[in-house]
Amino acid sequence: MDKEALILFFLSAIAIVGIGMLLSWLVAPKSKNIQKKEAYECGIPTVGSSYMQFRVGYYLFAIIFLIFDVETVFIFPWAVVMKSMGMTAFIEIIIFFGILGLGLLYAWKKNALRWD
Amino acid sequence: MDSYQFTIWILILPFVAFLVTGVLNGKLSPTISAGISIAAIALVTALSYFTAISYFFLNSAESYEAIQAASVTWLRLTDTLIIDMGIIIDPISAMMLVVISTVSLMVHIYSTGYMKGEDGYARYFTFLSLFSFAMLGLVLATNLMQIYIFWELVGVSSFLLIGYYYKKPTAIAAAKKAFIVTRFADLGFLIGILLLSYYTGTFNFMEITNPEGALISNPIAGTFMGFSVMTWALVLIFIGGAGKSAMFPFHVWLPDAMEGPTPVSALIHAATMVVAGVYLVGRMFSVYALAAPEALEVVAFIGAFTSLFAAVIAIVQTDIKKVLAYSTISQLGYMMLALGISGYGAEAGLGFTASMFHLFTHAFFKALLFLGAGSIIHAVHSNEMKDMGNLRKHLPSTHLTFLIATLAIAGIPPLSGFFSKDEILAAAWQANKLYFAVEYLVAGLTAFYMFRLYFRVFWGQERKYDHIHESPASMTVPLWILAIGAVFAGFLPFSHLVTSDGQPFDTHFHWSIALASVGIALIGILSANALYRKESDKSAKIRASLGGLYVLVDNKFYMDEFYLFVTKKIIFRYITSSAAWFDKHIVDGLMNLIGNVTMAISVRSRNFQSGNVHQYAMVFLTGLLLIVMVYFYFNPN
Amino acid sequence: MSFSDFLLMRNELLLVAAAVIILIADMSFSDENKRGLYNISLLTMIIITVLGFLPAPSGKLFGGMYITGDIYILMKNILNIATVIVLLQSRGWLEKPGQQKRMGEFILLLVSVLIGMSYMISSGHFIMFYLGMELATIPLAALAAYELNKSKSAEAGIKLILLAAFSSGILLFGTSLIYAAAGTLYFEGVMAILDSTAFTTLGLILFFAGLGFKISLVPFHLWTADVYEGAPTNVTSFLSVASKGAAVFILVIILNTVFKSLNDVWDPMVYALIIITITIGNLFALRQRNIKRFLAFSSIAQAGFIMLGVINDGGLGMATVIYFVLVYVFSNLAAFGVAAAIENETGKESIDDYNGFYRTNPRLSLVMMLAMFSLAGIPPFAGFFGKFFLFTAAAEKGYYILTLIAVLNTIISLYYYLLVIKAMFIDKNGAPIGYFKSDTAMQVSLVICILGIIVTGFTSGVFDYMVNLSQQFFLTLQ
Repeated sequence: MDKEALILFFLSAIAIVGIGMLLSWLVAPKSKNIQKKEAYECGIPTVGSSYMQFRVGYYLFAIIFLIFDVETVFIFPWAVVMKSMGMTAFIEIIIFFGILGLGLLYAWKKNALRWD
Repeated sequence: MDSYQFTIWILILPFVAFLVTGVLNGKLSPTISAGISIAAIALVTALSYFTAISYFFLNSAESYEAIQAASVTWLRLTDTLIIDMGIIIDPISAMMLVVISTVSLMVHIYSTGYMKGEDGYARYFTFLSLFSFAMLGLVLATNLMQIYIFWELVGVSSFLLIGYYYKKPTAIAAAKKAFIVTRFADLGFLIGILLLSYYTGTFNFMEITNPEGALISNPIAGTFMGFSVMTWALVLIFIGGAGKSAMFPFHVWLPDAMEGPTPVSALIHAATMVVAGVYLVGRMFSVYALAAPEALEVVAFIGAFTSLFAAVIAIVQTDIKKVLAYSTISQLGYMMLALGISGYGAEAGLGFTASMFHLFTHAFFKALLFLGAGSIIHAVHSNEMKDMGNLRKHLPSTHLTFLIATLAIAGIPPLSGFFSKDEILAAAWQANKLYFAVEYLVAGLTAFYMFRLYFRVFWGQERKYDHIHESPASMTVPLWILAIGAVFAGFLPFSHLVTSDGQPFDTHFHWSIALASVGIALIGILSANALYRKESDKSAKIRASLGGLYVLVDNKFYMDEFYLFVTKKIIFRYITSSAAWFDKHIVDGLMNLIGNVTMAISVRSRNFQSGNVHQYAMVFLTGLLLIVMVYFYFNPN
Repeated sequence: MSFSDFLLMRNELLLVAAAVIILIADMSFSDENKRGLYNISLLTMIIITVLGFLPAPSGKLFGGMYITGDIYILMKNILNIATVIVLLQSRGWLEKPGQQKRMGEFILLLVSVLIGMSYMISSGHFIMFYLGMELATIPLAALAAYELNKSKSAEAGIKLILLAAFSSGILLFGTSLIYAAAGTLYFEGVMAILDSTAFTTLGLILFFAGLGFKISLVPFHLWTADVYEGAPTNVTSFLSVASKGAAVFILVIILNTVFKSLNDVWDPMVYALIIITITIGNLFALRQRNIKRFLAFSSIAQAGFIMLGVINDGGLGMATVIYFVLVYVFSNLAAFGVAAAIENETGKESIDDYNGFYRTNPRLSLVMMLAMFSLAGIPPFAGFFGKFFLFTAAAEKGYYILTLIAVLNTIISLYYYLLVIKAMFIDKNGAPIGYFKSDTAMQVSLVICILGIIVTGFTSGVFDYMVNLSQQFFLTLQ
């Protein structure tokens, strides 16, 4: 019995994805030209290939930003239960901040925050 | 029970010698290293003789019981399956102690002369100590697991010693061959051990071989392909023994192993390691005889066949050590046959006693032959008989001792070989006339090829030698000591000492068999005398008249070529290379295919996708789906 | 919940503290001389390893998300030991000129992986397990790509992370199917509810594939050779013992607890995978000439052998798995240690370059020989007992044919392990690798490995202890 359910499950999964792709392929207008392969640079004519090297600093900043951004997500639930848990929760968040701060310090010390 | 606790030192001493010389290799002077090894083995020899004498002669009991001299629980697999490490003293192990320690001591002393000035002199003695330790541990083992461990250790040290001249490619090839062939046979041994232990729940020899014990009175039920599981287990164990004892078809490693230093050949490949297989069957003998006589028939057949097979090959060999090697194989076949035709119990166990007796005497005269050969090689710097001749003038001591050993192996009374061979022939006569006929023929062949060797080396034409001289005393003294053993070892009342069930019995001297065997030995000697004593073209003529048959024998019945064919042409070509082919064509091809497909689909991805990871993920997924499909196909629920 | 309950997580908390200490220490040493950092890290890790052997309480935390007990502690101790050995072996490499600056990263990542593995083993919940597993994987990919100026290293890193993500996806899909069937993700809850249906079966197979990837079972093994070859040798050695060991540990726990009721589903699957894995691993190992690729394929075969203990699904099986991993830690790290020493000194990785190595460096050659003997399972070294117990475990379950195939495969493996020994001891070479002296830390690590190979082989107590703990573990389940 449940084997059929499983097969049905897979078939429908494939169908949903497949139909969607098929539809978009059918509906979408197709045009091939050289411009399509160029990098997007807000309207002005592009210079050189789109396969160019980006400064790695972009990524470093992006990642560090992302990390600290995501960490704040953890603080919200903490804030909700802070009152009921009392001191334990406070100590825990201090440790959490400590480690977070240490991470920032580490990034700083390793010159990850310097642009040049 | 406690009285034999000192036997633990028999194992400790050589091991300590091995450790000390091994660890301090390069720090100690080679002479001191050799001294340590020799001192250790000398002490072991003294202890071994003391053990044997007190066990055999100072024992007031009627029969010889096995004694567990020491035992330590080593591994506890389950509550019932326990592996001990211990020491067993019974007639055959006591006898083996004497054999091993004597030959080992002689070889140690001999080596100080033979190996003088060689590279790695100290390393050589280190390995000798390791080997002595392993071999002694093997014969003293109280259980199958322990014997297996030492069995492998013996194999490793033999590997190291055969490959001693590691700069010689042939020596390396020989070492490898010996190791691989015996390892292959050991696989059978291991499976046999596992089968037996699985059914009996014990590894201990005392329990396994006890005639009233659970295993023998109640053998393993169940059959597999027409034979009982018990028979299979014992045949598998015999295969392990056959590998070490160079029985057909595992005999190919032994002649090649002659690439090692000659004293090593004397110790390992004549007197000790190669008899381990015989010893193993002897150790398990009551099980073979009482629980699985079919397995014993296999032993007898292989033994008889090997003895004849090797004797025929020995006739045409021209390398002095190869003759001795094939002779060893042939004599081992003798011992196996004697075990195979023996029954259990006092008189019926004549074959068992004869086999052990022959093992004992053979150790002396064969070690003597090898050491003698070493002395000859030392003098003329060649292994080939054509470079030798008329050496009796130059090497008087070697000549005399070699003659004694040759007479002993040919079975001329009153030398030791005569007595033991006579007992084997008598046992064969009682058991099976066909085997008797084979062994009788082999006795004649033995006398012939040994005297062919003797005459060609010590008589015949003088060759050109440079600086030929008799070997130093360090080499001739061991020769003489072994010669004494080769002469007198036959007078021991073996049937009172080593019997299948520990009960002594009386043997009768079989005049008719003795006369007949001496007769055929003399025929062999005389024909060798006629053909080889003076250089002549008689033997060449015979060779020519035999034609293809001679070529066949000269090429050792093409056994090596057969193995090479099987391994190189079949296993390597079809299995290994098919794996390589699979990798090269299917895997790489698939990878390329995916790479190409990827490229065709997307021009952009060309630069950073090799297709590799795709392919890996695809194999991952395919395998996974395969599992899922197979599973759901076979389990419709 | 009080703070004392946290002591149940002693090992993990100590490791986190160690990570913090290393982080601080890294900031306070100059870029040119990091020896002090190394010493502090090593000391901390040794202290944690030693502390691990103190008796520890058993129990659960966070409502059953975290489980600990004697057997868990034992597994973590083995991983700690492996990490310490790897740390010892990497000193020479870390202190190379130009590398010093980044030493802290290496150690931090290593410790992070260890933390992940510890949580993974102790997990009592599928999400907890997943978190631990990812924490044990992502830093590993960073470690594999550690050597910036080698494209192979980068390739190894990217391959590892991509394929790990792929296998994680599959594992999560399996987990979600299990959740669909059981309605909970707590191990205990799933164990009580799970029965054999198509959903759970598929879930189990997918989950197993995800872990099979980490253990590198065929057909989930293809990443192994490339990553092992490309990654720095010390990382490879860590991958091959610790990462694999941790995955096997949690696999044997999960299969015997959560999926106990699906025993007849995973038994035949494991059976088939063992045969394929051992055989393919062996056949491919035969023709490798690069020492790291060679060890990679041999480790695939070894993974197949380990599964012999898993298939036993009893106390004996679990004990043999733990024992084998311990032995494998020592043997494989000895082999990798020698390979790393040679690579550090000369940059050579091919087995052909090892020709004649014995003449110039007899000690290292002997270590390699012992390691190969142990890996090949030649008595009396520990590897033999490891294999032997595994065979016993499989035979106890009645899988004789399987045992026979495995035994036959040890013979094949013997051939290629001997090839390495042959190269070192026998083959001639006009210009062998010259004599060199490896650094003290490396020497210490090799001595530990050799002692481990010999002592664990000869001491029956080790195995007895593991059998005891495993049987207790199974008793508490009932």
